[in-house]
Amino acid sequence: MSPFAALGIEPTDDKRAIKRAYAAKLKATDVEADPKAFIALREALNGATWEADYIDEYYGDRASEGEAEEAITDDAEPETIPDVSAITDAEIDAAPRPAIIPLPSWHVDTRGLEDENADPERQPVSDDAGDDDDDYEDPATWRWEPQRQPATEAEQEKIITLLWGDRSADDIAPELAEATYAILTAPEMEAIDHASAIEDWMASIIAQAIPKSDPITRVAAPHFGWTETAENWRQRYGVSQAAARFNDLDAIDRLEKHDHRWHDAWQLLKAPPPDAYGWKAAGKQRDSIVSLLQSIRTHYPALESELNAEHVATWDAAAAAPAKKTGGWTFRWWWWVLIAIYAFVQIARFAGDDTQPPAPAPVLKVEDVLNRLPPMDPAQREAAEKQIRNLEIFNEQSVVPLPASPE
Amino acid sequence: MIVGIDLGTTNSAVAVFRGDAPELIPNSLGDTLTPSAVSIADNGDVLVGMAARERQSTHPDVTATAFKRFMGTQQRAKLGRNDFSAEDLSSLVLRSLKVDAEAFLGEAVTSAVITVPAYFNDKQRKATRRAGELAGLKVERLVNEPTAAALAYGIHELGQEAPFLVFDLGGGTFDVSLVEIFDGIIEVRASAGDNRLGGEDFNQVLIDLARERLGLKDNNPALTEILRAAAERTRRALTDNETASFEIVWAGEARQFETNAAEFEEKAAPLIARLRDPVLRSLRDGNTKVGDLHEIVMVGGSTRMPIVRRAVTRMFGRFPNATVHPDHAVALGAAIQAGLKAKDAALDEIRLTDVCPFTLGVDTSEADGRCGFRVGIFSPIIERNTVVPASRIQTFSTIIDNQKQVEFGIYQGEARMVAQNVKLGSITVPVPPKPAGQVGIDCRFSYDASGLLEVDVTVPDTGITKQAVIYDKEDAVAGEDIETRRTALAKLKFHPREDAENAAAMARAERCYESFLAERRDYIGNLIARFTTALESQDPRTIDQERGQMLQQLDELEGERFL
Repeated sequence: MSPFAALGIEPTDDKRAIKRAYAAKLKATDVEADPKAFIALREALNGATWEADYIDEYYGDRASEGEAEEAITDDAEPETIPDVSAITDAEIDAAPRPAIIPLPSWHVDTRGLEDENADPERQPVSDDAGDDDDDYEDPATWRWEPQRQPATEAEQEKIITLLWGDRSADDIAPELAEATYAILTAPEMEAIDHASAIEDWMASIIAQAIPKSDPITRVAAPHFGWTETAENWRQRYGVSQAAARFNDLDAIDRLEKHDHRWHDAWQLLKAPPPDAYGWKAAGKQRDSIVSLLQSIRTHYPALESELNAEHVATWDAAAAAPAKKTGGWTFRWWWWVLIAIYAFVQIARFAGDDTQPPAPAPVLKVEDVLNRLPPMDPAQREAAEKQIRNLEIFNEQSVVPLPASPE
Repeated sequence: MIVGIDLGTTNSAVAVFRGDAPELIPNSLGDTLTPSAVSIADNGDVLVGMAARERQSTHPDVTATAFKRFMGTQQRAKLGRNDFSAEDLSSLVLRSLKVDAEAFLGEAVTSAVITVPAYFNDKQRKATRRAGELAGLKVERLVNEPTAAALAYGIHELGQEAPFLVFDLGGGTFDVSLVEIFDGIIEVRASAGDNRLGGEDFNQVLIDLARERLGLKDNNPALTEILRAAAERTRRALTDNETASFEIVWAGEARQFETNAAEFEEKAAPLIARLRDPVLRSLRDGNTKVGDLHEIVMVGGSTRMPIVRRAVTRMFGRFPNATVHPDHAVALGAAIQAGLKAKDAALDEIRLTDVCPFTLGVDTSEADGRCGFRVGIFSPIIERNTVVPASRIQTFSTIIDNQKQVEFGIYQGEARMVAQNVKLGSITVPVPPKPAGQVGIDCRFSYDASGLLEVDVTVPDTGITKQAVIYDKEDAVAGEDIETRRTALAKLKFHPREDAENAAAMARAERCYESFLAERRDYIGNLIARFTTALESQDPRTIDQERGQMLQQLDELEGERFL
């Protein structure tokens, strides 16, 4: 049954009509006595609301009610625009209540509250929003950018220009940090819509520009508390990546310190593989290099990209073939001396003692088995003999399965 | 008769739906709010309400307040020789409200709708329901506090179609709900909250400040209670004034310091910051922008604080609505829900739907690609802000060849690893021996309208179904026979209701006696002596007269009493 049929109406894209039908049905349902009916009704409402957006695809041109006039209009324009940052505390406390002041400027058309399932195509794709697929071909400049906020438009523009510009990461770092700081300390951040839109914007920009965006990450991740929520099973676009990057940066900072126990190993792995003499020196770092690699792979997988891939591969190969050089087990001449001493001691033990080594267990001979075979015709016997000779268990006292005797 | 009860951290209230409207029921003192406090009197009587609240600082070892914060935990309060859980103490408050309602209505009250913070978890909800049962009330329904407030507000705003936001900051909990009304349906779209944030935390800020300023280091419980009472008084003073004086008497010495609103605001900034996240979450989950909101409805006593009102105004860029009474809205909403439950004709065209504010799921393992398993991965079954009642099924499979049984850990929370979520219980089901992945197990989560969870697990291959959720060892008390505890509580002797006013007045006088020094203390001693003589005379008129006089004098000494 289609969700519309369950609601008792014709398919329509008028969401208000869907809600009206749902309300009428709900009033006829005793939710507590019949929760199943309610659950079914609720599913019908969800289904119908969802299908309403794709009404033509589902029901052809049957529904032609025209555009739904939804109760909640997305683009309601405010009439006047007060400056909230100018309200003094005294004014707030003394204000007559209730009172609704019209929406301030930065509430206009924020798209920050879309959830992660929102269709990215609906968002402006790049600077040249409006152009279609023609723009798509250049992955170097393509990016997905959520709506900017009017109050901080200038700083946001600056960050985009810096990140997708030609200057080096070190060069732009101070300016990036400054712009980020300016955005995060703007008085508009007190307003929840603005803050939410900025959070979404920053997370997605950071995620798309790692590692160039590191100076932003260092400021924004603690500000928004991303590291605490990053492990949630449902997270908005960019937040997990930004939080993971923040953790990685923290790990890098610690490894860069000279007193870190893996500092030398870290420095070594960042460089290309050394020459023969260098290998000898590197061999001493073997344990810490192995631990560092293991730790990076378990806890900070993205950090492996900071290391020299060729060098890491060489270490992996060395670890896989332990008998080779680079500090592995090397066969030394003095091992022969140890073996000789061991052998001598063993011989001395048995020589000075009357006890014999334990006798081997009686061996079951194949002939014994063959002799015990019951009488059978030669062809069969030959096959059985062959089968038994092939068995390799005659030095053990196990039961040898015999072929069944013919009736 | 079904009543609606707001069982609060600081105060509780009871209301009834009759004659087309909800109505608050006054207690034996004539107040509509009853402090959620329990104390044991010197003669062993149980005092509930104002009298108990007044004894908080004079008799800290036999008085319990703010016990709602320990709901659903094993923490027990020792009052004299008795040992109570938060459930027991709540049941004593509920019982007192029930008696008040019966006296007011002139008929037996057998069932109730009780409110709980939206962000109360399953354990806390079940504990609240048991508290109702211990008080001899059939709990028809648990309603989320912001939802009740939304009902009380929405019932007058049925024509309004834009969503509104309920901002509920109470004594111990904080909830935010996004509510929409259409065609008589009051629908909660999303709820979020913090079940450890409320007025008590703001008091703690002042207590910490006082300890620092007054150089009080010792952790004496009596001192803590004195500081708590003084902090509450100072915080209330800061609601109306720029400056306030924090005054206590400790170890026979008066100590005080002046504080002001700016300092309090600075010290409370971390708490104010915690108000943002639930607001943001509910708006995101409800897919709504601040601009779409029709109103911000503030309920809960703590929303009176100017610092909270300022933070809200800045967050939303507008002034919050103040048409609803912050202390009464929840109880009135509960009464409306009671009317709905009783199918009151006046509410025929009204329906309410609520959501479950948490994600609920089970503990699972996944292959890590290196022949091992990552364990403790949270697998959600009911996502947060699903409309209740709801029921969802998910199928899981075995991970080891010839696995004998499967244990489902049941968790609530948003973290990807179960270790960071709240464990609600576990359920074990035997499975037939088969290769890994070949046995399917259906796990069904059902959430009823009160927000109580039921889990059942079925193995289609064998037809075995397990329903009972086995609680952890720490929850053993949950299984304890409710009858035995009810009889244990029934053995307690309650202070006679008709004497409640005298008990409250005496408790207040005793508290005042300890919080003043020198002549004023002697003067209060004198008042107490006169009142005691009046009580001994057993003449109701003399007693009333003396009590009235004494309370008037106390009001002059320390300002009006407050709830």
